[in-house]
Amino acid sequence: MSTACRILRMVHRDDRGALSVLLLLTLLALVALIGLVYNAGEYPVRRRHVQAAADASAQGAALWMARTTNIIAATNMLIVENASAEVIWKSTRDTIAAISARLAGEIRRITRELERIERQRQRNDSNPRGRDEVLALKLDLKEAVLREVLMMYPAQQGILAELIARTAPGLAATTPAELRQRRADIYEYQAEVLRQTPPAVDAERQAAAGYYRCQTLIVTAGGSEYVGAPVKSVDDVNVEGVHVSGVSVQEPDGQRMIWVTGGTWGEILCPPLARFFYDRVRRDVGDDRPDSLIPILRALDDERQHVGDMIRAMLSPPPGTDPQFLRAWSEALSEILDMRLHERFAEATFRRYVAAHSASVLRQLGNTPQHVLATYGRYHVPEWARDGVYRDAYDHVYRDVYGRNYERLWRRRYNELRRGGMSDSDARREADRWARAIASEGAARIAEQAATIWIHRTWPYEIRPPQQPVPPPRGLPADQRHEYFTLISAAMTTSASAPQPVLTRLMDSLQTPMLATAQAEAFNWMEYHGAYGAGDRYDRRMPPRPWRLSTRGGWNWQPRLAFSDALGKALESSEMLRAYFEGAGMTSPQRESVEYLIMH
Amino acid sequence: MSAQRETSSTRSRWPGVCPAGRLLWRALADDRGAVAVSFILTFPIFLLIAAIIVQYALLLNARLVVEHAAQTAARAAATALPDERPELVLRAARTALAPLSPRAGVAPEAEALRTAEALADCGVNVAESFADRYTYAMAATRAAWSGGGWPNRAGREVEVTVRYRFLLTVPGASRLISAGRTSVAGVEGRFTTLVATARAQASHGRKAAADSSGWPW
Repeated sequence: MSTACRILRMVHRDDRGALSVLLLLTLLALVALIGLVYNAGEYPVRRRHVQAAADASAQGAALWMARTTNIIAATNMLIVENASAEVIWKSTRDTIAAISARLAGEIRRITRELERIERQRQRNDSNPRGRDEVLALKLDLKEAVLREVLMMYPAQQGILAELIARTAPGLAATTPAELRQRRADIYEYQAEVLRQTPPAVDAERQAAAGYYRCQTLIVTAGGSEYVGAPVKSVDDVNVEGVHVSGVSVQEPDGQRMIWVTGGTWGEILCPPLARFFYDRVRRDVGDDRPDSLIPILRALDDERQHVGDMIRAMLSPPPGTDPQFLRAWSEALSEILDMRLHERFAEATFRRYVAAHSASVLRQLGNTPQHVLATYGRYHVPEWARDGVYRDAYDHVYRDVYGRNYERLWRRRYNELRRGGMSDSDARREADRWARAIASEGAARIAEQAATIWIHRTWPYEIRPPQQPVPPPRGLPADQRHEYFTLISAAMTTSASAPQPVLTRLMDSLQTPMLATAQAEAFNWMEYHGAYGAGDRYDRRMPPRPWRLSTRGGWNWQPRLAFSDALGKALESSEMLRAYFEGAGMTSPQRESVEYLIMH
Repeated sequence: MSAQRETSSTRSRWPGVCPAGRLLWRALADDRGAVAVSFILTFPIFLLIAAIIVQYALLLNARLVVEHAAQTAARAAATALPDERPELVLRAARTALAPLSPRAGVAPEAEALRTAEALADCGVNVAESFADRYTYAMAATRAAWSGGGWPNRAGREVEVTVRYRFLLTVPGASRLISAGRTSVAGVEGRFTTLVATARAQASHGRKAAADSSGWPW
């Protein structure tokens, strides 16, 4: 037997340590199994970690976008409130001046009328043909009433004094020039906030990167690493109207060419702020405010109504009045009412000034720089909406032109016919037929011209009109949402946050860094709610009124994580983002494939 | 010669004992080969225990993967549901479970081929068997989530439950876990259903109205 065989036989016979070998093998198997389970747990934990880093970066950046947009919207409201204050300031000043002038003028007029009455009375009394008793009565009545009316002016002047006292502090506290300067200051503040937003976004990104110990990147869908709020500054946003000077129309049954005058329609003053501006002015004027001027002005008007009641009461002939003197009563009443001393005018004057100053202040606002949503611009009416816009514009212009020309044409023809000797009723009938024919033809031609211009020129829209009517009838188009309101974040593990697998030689382990992405956006949920300003109609004559950055509904921007439908586009545009993907083992990320693989 | 010596020696040591008794006595007195016998007797039990340990380790591994799939699906649900892409919740779970899955016994599904192709397009080193495994995952995975109307709801918690038919591959041990044999995506064997639930904060739906707590207007 060889030596080797003897050793083998000895080992075979010697069973000492057999259990140790078994134990060792069992332990090795157990360690491998524990390693397998540990590794299986390690990767998901790190995956969640890096995904949390991407989500936090995206959410943080979108939060700054929303926050800044809300600040711009809120301060736009301050600008509008300031402009409304200027309207009220100017209107109050002018109204007080107008009321003072009118009351003073009326008192002077009454005084002169009393002097005139006295002169008439003296003439009547010294009339050589005898005193006219009817005239004398009329003069007596008028004098009595006017003296009574004169006694009522202190009450009106008292109300005026109250109005002056109420408004003097406000009028003295500021001037229109100061208000304009404050608007300019607010604009500068907005610009500074916009400048500070990208650094804030980057600080947020760095904070998330530090906390999760990952590399992070934030880019826009367009690939830019400069992520700011979806806001831009524009100058001179007033929109000129559609102008048609007029047309010549051949008269029916005649040879003459009759001119039908046109006009200008569709002028929009400062579209971005007009919506809230008019709303704000209406509320500032409104009598639901505790400091509204309207109750005072109505009190003045009510006082004047009492004057009217008093005049009518004093000039009502008592029962049994001799019929020959009735004329004196009625003439006295008519002449005094013609003086319009009882007319309600204060509130109407104020509202007229408010309308005039609103237009001028809004025009001035439109000529100064302001911040609007980045999507704001002049766009053509979308193809699908042109029929609706054309019909709406046509109807509007037709009604306006017809209404303004018919009256003028009717009067002209009526006068011609009457001068030609036609009877009144015939002239009326013929003038109506003539004016209708010319006004309708002229209005139709002008409306057609105006509506054609209307649908072929650009109009201001806060967001680009959708290319299809449905869906969605509301909300931002996807490409604009991506371009201005969306950002992409990517997070990649570093050595500090990478998975730490065990038994890497024994098991197939992931050696490349882990990558996670997230998409977030600033959005305004009111976008879809008609009650809050949404519900844009693109097939109407006037473009939808902007609201997303200039009303209270406009400062409801929020951040949200969104489905990553812009990731493919961002990958095409951003080299840095591609580098992240390549670092994670996706050496040639193709847009279509990436978009297919996106799960969140 | 030696046998004759042994016989005579034994006989002389226990006179009067029958030969069978002498043989039994001798077998009991001789402990050579005892380890081999005890090994033969205990090895199947040891093997069964080892198989059970391996099977449960694989199950534990699978449970971790299914939980990961549930979390992936929950993260997908957080944005896919409010943005009206609910089909992606299930796809996220399937993608996470494909590496755990055996190769399907049927032709790969179009979705599996498209996913494998997309991964390859992006430069990822995709295993040849990925489409087959994904096909199995498609048949073996179910996903369900709480709530509805997400596009119109403010951000709330969504709970996603993923169910996965896991193939028990360790012989013997699988019988202890699953009684009957069945087939999933052409794969015959014993299966157990693993269930995992994960929660995520769903994103605020774009069309969600304000709550009653006083949003500014």
